Amino acid sequence: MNESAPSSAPGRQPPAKRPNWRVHAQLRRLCLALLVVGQTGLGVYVMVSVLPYHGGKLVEQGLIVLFTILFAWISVGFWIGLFGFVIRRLGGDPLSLMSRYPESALAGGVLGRTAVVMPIYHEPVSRTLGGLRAIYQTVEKTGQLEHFDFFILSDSRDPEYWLNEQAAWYRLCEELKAFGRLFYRRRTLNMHYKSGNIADFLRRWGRRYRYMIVLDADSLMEGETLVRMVRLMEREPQVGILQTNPTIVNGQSLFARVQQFANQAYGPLFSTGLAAIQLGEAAYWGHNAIIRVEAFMRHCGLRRLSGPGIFGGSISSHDFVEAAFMGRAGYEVWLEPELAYSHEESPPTLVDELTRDKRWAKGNLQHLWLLLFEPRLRLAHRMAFLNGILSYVASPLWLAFLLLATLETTQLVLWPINYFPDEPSLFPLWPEWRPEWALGLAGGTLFLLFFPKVLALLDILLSGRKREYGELGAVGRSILLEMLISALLAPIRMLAHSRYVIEALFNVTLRWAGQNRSEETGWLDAIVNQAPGTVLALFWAGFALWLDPMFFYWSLPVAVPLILAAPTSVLLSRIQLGQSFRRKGFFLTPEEVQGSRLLEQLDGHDLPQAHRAPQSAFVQAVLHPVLNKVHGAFARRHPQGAKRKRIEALRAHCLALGPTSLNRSEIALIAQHSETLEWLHRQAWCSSADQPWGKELDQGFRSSLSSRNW
Amino acid sequence: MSRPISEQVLLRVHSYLEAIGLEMTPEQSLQALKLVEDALVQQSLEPMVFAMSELPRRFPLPPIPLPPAFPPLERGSIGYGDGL
Repeated sequence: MNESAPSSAPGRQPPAKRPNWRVHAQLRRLCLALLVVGQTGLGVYVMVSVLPYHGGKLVEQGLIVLFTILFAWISVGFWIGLFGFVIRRLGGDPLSLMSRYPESALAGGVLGRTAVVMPIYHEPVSRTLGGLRAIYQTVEKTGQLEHFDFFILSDSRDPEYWLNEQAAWYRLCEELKAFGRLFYRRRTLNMHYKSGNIADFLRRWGRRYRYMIVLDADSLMEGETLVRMVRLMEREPQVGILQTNPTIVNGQSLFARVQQFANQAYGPLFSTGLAAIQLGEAAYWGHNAIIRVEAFMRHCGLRRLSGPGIFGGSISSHDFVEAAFMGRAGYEVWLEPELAYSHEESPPTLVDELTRDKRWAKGNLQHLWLLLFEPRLRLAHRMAFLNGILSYVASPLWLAFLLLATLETTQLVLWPINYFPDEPSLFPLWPEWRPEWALGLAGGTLFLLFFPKVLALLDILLSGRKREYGELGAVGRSILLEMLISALLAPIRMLAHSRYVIEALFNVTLRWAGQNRSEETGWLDAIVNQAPGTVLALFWAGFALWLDPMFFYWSLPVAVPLILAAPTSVLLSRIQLGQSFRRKGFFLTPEEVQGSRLLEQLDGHDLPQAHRAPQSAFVQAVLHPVLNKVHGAFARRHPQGAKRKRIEALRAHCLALGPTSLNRSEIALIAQHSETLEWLHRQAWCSSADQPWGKELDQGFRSSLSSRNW
Repeated sequence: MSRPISEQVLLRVHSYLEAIGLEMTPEQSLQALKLVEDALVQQSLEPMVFAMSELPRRFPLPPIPLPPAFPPLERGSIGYGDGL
């Protein structure tokens, strides 16, 4: 441990007696490893028995290697779910951070100054800042608001977005009376993605705050939870990061509702199991977590990677790396599933989820470099890297397994039987078929995949959570339907992830785009997007049918979902369908059954914003006297020289021909300079009714005034 | 058929005052009408330009309080845990 590590970290409250969790962690991980290895060994033994030549051919050896990795991978998930179930049935993990402090022990004491930061990039401003408003209001209700400042950290490039954000920030400050407590900062040079945005914040205000709670654009957290997190950090100075387990809420489309139900129904088992295995060496998921700022600034800077291809350049998935660096510095990183009222949202459609996964696939693959070459990381954090990598690499491995299985079947059917596959011998090797073993193996694999879901249902029944999910029969039906939908989605995800992994390894340029949080998928888009998979599946299933009817039946669980990918994608994206299932009691979540103060505050009070007005954010910025001043305060002073001439020419052009005569970069240039904004404002208001700005004023602007939509 | 210039100027003045948040009392409305009249009578400027440039002098425009966009800087530096 170095001199700056936890022993000298600022702790303002007396700590509780700390159990030696590291010993317990080692024992639990050893137990997990033994179970996974044992189970995988058994699975491989059966697999070898199932193969006609029992691994005697190269193709079969390839199948065995792939099966071993994939089976071990799903075994880990199975046992973590089972651990979670057992721990929950025993009343919770006695080693968890929360268990050290009963509610009464956490109350009281001074809170460290905390920044609540929300990095955003081209997000729907009404939802994003509406969420921040709900968080702010619930913090206010705790009576501890004085200890918190709120920051909107924008990376938006499109002036339509950032002008909207600035206007919404001002309205929010007015509405919440949050002058001097709610801040807005936009980087003009957005390097290194979200981690660069956070680093930019820390470089400016890092010494002002002891803690930083990082939110995602769709995060929702209850004020009580935020206060509790700060109190825990105050009492546990060796903790560098405390991660909550955000549950998914507010799903509208069928896709989002299925995801949120699965997350809420099964999530507690897996998060409890994961937290129990990781203990103080957990991962950081990038949001809904509190961070000790001084330690983070000192140890968690992210250098550019120095390897070839994707292993060079900025780290795009920063969170796991920051947790690993925090652990390396001697600080603990905890996942606390018992910290309730921490939420996020699901991508509304499959397309959006896959778009996000494309970024995450590259980010996780980059971690391979750190896993192999970054010195002094804790083994648990290297395993977290491996886990993240396998989340995506498992897909091409599964694809390769299917290809090899097809090749094996083709050889068996079309080629003459080879009794001497290895070398000339007096003893022929007879191929054996054991279909009952194959069925057993397939059944066992399905058991590993789906039994944790049955345990989740049992947990809901035994823990009294059933009241939170509505009628019992509906919960059972929801789980069955969720299993069907997840089985339909699995091959689609497998094929997409395989493509992303291959693209990432070939270092295809990554587009860092904001997430769609509202739109449905159109038929044309879906058909075009899913066409390669559909064609591939049709060809594969047709070939299987021609080859051997039995192989055709085996291919159907993968082929059918790929053939149906386009309608699956479209139907799941439908909001109306999602709401229809909701009315019938499917996929209900505790927040929907019992109500949620946070969601009520989010849903019932839309944030007034510029893009609801009939005019663009830029037109509002020019015309509205208040917004013009707000945007002017963010803008720079007028430059000199050639740039000044360029801006003056642009503003004259804009005045004469109106706002639609400018492209986005020209609008950004004008809106970034205060004198130009002010000049345009004065000139526009003096325009006669037949000039472009006069028309904007007398038509659209007046209607926006009457509805106060700015 | 386009509106007469007097109506255009009056509409513009009303729009601006409403946008900036000034409550239009009967006195303010009379003041607006007087401004339109003066704009039409004077010869040196376009009526619209005259009216809009006179507006801050003739009406008690409310101040626009701007919240601080960010707090005073208290810079931190990002380290890489090199001293380990």
